[in-house]
Amino acid sequence: MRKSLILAKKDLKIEFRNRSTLNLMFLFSFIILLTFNFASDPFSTQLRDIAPGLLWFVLLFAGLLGISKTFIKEIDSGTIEGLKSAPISYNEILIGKIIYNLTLIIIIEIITFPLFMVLFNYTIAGNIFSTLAILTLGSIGFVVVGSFISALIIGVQNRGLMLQVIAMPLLIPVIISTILALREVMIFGKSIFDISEIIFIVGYVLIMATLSLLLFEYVLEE
Amino acid sequence: MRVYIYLTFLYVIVLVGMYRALVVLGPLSTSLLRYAGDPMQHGYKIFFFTMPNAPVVYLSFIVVLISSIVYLKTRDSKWDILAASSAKIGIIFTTILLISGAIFSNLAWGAYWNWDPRQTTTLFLWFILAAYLSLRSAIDNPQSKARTSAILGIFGFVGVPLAHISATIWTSNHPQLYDKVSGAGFKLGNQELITFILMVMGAIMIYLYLIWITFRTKKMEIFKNGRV
Repeated sequence: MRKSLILAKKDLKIEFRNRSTLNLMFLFSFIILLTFNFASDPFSTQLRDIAPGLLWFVLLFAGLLGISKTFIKEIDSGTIEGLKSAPISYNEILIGKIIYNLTLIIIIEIITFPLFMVLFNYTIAGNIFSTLAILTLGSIGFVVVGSFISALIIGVQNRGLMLQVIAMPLLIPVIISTILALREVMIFGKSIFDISEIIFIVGYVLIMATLSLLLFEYVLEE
Repeated sequence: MRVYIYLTFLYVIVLVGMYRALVVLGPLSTSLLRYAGDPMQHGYKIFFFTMPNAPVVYLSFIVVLISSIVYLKTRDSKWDILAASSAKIGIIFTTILLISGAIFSNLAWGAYWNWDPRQTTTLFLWFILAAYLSLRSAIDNPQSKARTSAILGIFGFVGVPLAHISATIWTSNHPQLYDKVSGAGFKLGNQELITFILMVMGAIMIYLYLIWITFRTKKMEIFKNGRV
């Protein structure tokens, strides 16, 4: 676990040197928010109903955009062999990458969320921290699966598209439950402990994480 | 020769099953759905053409799962071919299940697609198989193709238990064998049960026949091209 943290720290250090992925993810989520604003009258009541879904999709697509580069970056810079021969297990590499991706997503989440509230003139019925907690929980789900899949498709042509096509069907239970939970908090103002979807998301993420850790040694072998 | 005996047996089962479903069984007597005053008369017979696809879809996922695990353990390419054939046949059956399910849905609930959890999760299964097959077609190196798709084959199996319990954990109008709301699901009469069993047997036999053909064709292709 400590080795994973070191690995994640290394990736974050590289990322913060030029912030290329982070900038890209931020601009992408910003532009999507803007276009959604034009899709509907920003002061209408319909928007109030679909806004939780919009917010979640912005985060999801920006997240998958960043995640798709996780292992490709290692390939492009030729460091994947060094990573594999380092004295750490493959699972620790995966956990390190998950921590790194999750950090990026949380940064994007913290930037996007106020932006969303301002642009859509949105007041949340429930607690803001509950909303952020649900967003983070859903993000953990797609980060775990996305990091695993991004390693799986190293040798594939059209990697960027392939990640979406493969990860999305596996993620749909998490995506739907997160939207439902977000609606409960943002529209109906429920407390986070009253939402039954949370248990489902946690259970699904645990199953996915277990499977990823069990299968990851087969992913990186040549 | 043996395959002709098998095919004759298959034809007999499927034809008898279809004859029973369409001609022998009368209009709906028991309630198929959980509410009283079921509007369906003969329309319920689509059930005998829809439901038998579901076990086949599960079966194809199970075959993909098992042969993927065995492939990762043994690295014998015939297991990879088996998984690929099963996914290919599975997606055909899933498509049939979705389309005929939509017809049933239109008869029972008045809309071809009404986002019932059963329908939606079956669509996820279709997407998982489609992702599996498109992943296969995107990798050139045979070994890495087999390894990568085996991993996805194991991963994709999570959709099956989810699809199976979907109608129980979420609110659904779908007819259920174990219904938590009314205590008992719908029950088939003896005549209907025989027809149903014949149709399920027929569907599974068609699946086995198709997978046998696909498996042999793929093996021959590989033999001809001289690569594993």
